[in-house]
Amino acid sequence: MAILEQGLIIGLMALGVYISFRIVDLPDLTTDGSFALGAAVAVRAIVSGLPAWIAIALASICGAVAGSITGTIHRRFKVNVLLAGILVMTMLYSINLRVMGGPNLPVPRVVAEKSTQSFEEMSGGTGLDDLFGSLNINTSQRSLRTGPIIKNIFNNNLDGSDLLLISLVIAAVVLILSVFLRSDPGMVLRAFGSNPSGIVAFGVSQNVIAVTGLTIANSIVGLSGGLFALYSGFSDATIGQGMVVTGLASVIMGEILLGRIKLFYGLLSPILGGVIYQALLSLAMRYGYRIGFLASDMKLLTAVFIIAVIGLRQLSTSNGKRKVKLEVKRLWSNSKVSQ
Amino acid sequence: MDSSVVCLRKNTRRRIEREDVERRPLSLLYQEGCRMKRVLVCVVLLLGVLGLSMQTVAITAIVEHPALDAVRQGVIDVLAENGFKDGDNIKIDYQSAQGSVSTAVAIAKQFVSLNPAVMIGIATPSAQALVNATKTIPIVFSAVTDPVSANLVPSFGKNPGNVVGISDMTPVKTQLQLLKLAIPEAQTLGVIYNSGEANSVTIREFAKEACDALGMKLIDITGSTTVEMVASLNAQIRDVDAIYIGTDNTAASSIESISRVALREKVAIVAADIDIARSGGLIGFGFNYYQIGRATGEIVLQVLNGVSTSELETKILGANSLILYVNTDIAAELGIEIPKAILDRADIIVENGVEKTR
Repeated sequence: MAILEQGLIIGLMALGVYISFRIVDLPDLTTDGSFALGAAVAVRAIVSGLPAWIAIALASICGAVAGSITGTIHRRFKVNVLLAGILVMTMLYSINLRVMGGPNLPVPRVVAEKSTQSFEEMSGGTGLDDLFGSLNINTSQRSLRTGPIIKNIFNNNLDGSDLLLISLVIAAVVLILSVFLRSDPGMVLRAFGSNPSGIVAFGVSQNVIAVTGLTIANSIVGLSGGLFALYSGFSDATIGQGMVVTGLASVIMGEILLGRIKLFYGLLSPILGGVIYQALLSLAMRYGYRIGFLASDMKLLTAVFIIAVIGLRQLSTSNGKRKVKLEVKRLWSNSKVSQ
Repeated sequence: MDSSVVCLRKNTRRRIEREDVERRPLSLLYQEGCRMKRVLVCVVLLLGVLGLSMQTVAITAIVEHPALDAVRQGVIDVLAENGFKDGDNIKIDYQSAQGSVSTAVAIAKQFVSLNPAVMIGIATPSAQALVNATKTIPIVFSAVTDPVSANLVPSFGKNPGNVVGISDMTPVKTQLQLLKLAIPEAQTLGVIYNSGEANSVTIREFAKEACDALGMKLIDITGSTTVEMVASLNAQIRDVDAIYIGTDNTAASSIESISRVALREKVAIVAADIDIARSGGLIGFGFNYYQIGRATGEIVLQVLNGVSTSELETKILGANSLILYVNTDIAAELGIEIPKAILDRADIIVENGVEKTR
């Protein structure tokens, strides 16, 4: 159940990655930053007393703005999209720290009774105090940082209500997106991904498409980041780390599972992929050590998995299969010779 | 159960038939078979009971790192010394989030579904993920500098609820007093830290207070990665008279490069972590993370023995566990005369390349 909940939120993020990487075919690396931005904005909004649904909407809007900036840098200044994404991601790291007012911001669940005290205030000295003489100083008392407890929309009881909430958000996003992709501008977007020059020949501005695609993609990523932060109960500066890779792995996983079945223009496959990816990840963490995996090997495994899947797919198309057979035969005969 | 009994009978009969050829009394063989069956059932039952009664201790850390690994080892050692050995009567389940917050959250949710006797969260994000995942299973956090700001507990001391732990708050004021005592002419202090680490930001706030009181100017030398950190140190080193490093993970990882730059520019380093100080620091004053782990282990032990978390205190380590480290070789290299008062109190002194512990 917990895996399903988190998998769905990650799947939503993967949906954003799917839109940028697959539908408009722009490898966008803003994701790490916009996910963290969504998380930071959502928690900051909740802490300042806004209702949860506004917090999540704000997260989504901020993600959208980040995406549109990447798109604008990419098209206006003719910067490679990878570089534009990295630049915006880097900027967002600093911005997120500003938004949170520090590296870590929890959704208040207990009321702080006393501000944090220094070691000396708590222990009453260190045993070296007699050394200092004239250097003895008194540090002032800090003001109390208290906030009211805020009722989180997620109750974390695994009773299905969190799952329902996440599912509802995802259903709404998928519905809106599939309606949009059916409309004329949506069609242009999809066509651009498969044949850019064809669409440009029709007189559609490439700038508009790139910016629109990245805006939509990152608004979904921001939304997912906001949901994730509220679901986890805190936001951290490093919360977005590795999200692009996770998203890509989920997209690929979804494509393996659903193959050519394109329900809602393939929008469901990254979500399913996210859930399966999360399940595999937790299985690998749980039982991986029995076959000698260390927790620190996970990143290597994820990357190797993505490469393997892409590589296998390349080999299995057209004359690829023959190549594999030949390769296997060659290896086999080599091994015989060496024996 | 039925099928296994049938199976056993079959096997017994087969053995009887086989051994009958060897002309042994049938009745004796039958008895032997029965005894074996009984022993087998007993063993299976015993294993089952053990398996059910074995408590799980779930440990998670945000990342694998010498200091955090030492905390974990401290916990495990204390438990083992008090009769809770992994695999014997408890099961210790350890998972590292490899620096990823989303993995930390996944681990927390997974732990809760195992319903362990106690969960241990090492470092802020892992502890926060655990605390958010359950309101009932006891949680012991460790190596969190500011548990109040991280919203783990409402205050130090006894608190209602399922969360308790050990803070690795370090005596920042005393460290800076030591610095000023050893280097009275120091006017500007460079504080090296990662502004993305919650612990370090708290320590920097305390350092600012102490600097104001001691009449020093504080300069932030920050970086979110080891590379950035060394670059910003190189850019600012000429503006500082001394360097202070708290319990920052990024600074700990880049300490070799930091100390090389500092020694080249003849700037002294005072550190809150003894291991950081060992790599080129002049003075170190703080805890050893293994001790923090052991103190955490003591709390875990009490929870395992049935003490409620609301009866236990969230605390810092006692002042008597503090270690003072002084490197006289580096002092000579920098042309600094360390006052005898400090040397007299030092627990570890490095002299002519030899480390002496008192």
